[in-house]
Amino acid sequence: MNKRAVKTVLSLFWFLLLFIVAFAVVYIVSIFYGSPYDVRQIEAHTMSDQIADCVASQGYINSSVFTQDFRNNFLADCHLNFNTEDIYDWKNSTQYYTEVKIYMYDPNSFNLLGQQVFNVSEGNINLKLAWQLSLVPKAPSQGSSLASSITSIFSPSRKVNTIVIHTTEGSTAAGAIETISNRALSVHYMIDRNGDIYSSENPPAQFADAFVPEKTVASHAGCGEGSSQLPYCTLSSGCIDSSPVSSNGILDTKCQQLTGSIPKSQWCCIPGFNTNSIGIELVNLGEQCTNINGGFCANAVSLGGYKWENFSNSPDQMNSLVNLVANIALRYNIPVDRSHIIGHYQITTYKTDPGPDFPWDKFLSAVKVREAEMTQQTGVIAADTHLPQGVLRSFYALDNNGEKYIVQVLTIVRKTEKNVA
Amino acid sequence: MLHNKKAQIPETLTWVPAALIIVLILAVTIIATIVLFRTSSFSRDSRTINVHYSSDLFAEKSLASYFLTTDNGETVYSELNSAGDFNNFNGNLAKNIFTLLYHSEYPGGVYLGFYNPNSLLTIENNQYFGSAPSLGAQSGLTGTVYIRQDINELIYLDKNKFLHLILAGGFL
Repeated sequence: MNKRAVKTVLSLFWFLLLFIVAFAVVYIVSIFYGSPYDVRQIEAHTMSDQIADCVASQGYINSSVFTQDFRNNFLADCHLNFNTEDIYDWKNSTQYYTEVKIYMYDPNSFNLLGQQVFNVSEGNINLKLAWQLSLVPKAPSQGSSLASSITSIFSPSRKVNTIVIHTTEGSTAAGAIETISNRALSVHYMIDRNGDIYSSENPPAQFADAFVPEKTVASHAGCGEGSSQLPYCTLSSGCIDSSPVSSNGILDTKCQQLTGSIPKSQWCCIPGFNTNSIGIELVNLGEQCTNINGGFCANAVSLGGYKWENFSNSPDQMNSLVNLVANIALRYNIPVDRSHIIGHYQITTYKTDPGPDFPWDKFLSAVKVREAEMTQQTGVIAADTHLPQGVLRSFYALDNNGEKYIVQVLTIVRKTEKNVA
Repeated sequence: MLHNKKAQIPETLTWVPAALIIVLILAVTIIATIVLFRTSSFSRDSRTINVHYSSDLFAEKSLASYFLTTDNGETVYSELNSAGDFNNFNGNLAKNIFTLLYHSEYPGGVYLGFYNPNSLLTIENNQYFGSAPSLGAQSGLTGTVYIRQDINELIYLDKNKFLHLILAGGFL
């Protein structure tokens, strides 16, 4: 081989080496940046800190916070701008939501929250609901991987096929949670009047045992134990006529209208509903309105000498219930009908919740629509990373008169390719 | 050879196009990288970053307001400073604030108590928070060290005593 040929071969070798290096650079970059880092949680934390600093400093809530001017210029006053990034049409569909609520300090409340005295929010309100759903646990893994097999040995998954809706028969979530805990009962979810969803993900300190995760059987729809155990319903027992149990194994819906007048000697219960159901409590006075006038019972629904709280009092609660039930039904493949989404009264004859005012037809229609929307929004259920990341934090603060408050700051960041309307 | 101008011509003719080609390849590489990976949307494969916070602004704000809370005209800070211990009012207030507001974020334990650098038992137990949770790292079975998200703040009371806030988090 002559000298020129050697040079040519060497040149080719060096260029080949250069291409290999270039390919390696692309490959390494792809490893690091091919799947981007999700820093939304950190961003939400940073935003929370910014807002907390804006609301209170040196131990006191800034005096301007309670003014209308602060409400109107909340973002500007806190030096926040939601429109700095303009890709994927984010400017037209805000990717942030933030909310500041100030409550009176109440040492008797499970979360110290007394009366709400201030509220301001900015951004895309739909993100709040999506974030709440992101706190809902995922359905048990159906995969056959070793990890899921090991997990299933230690926490056997159960087949969930029913959703039972209750009312707390009380005016506040705090009181209801305490009652559930004290009576050694448990539930999977509780929805407050303002739409907030409580679950085992964020249980209150003293009453952590009131909530259990979805994979665990809760004690919310049982027939009691020992001397207080109710007899099981048969075709000849129960409520309206000789066939109280409908063909699908639950009490006939007509029972509800008469349960209050059923003598205790005839009370009965259908066993086994705890095993395969998810229990959702709605903060609502329910039948307690029979003995209460005014307040939440002002527009109570009357039937057969009894009165129930009107669900029109809490539209945000109903909205959250629709979304939560649609989410659960979709994940567990539960049919959205009156055989699978039932009221507590359909299990135990002396129970009436959620009451005759509960708009079953309208509710189930809304759940079906929401379920369809969730299915279309590729990713809302299947790819959880499309759900927004949020931070809800609280701090104790004083005003200039020394009054005690709890300041609650919620910040949510979505910033995914797929937009929320 | 460097002194031979004729010899430099072929060398230059070799390396100028070579340099251009190298620049071209690098430019193509950079552009390809930008085009291929410019998406900033999060997907199922997105990775999260665990940030080890060494301070907690919300807890600090609560602590500042706690100190400024007045009890019979005296601030909690001066009460703690003069008595060197909790009383019924400020002990229960501290327990309410720090336990109820932060327990879920710090599963390792929440503690507020007194720290005496001159004492053998430097972190003292108290009736409101019990004993202080352990701080720091934990070794795994295979020798892996797990770092915990702990917040550890000392607040000066006097030369012999500090107030010690410990918020012990989960392991990263």
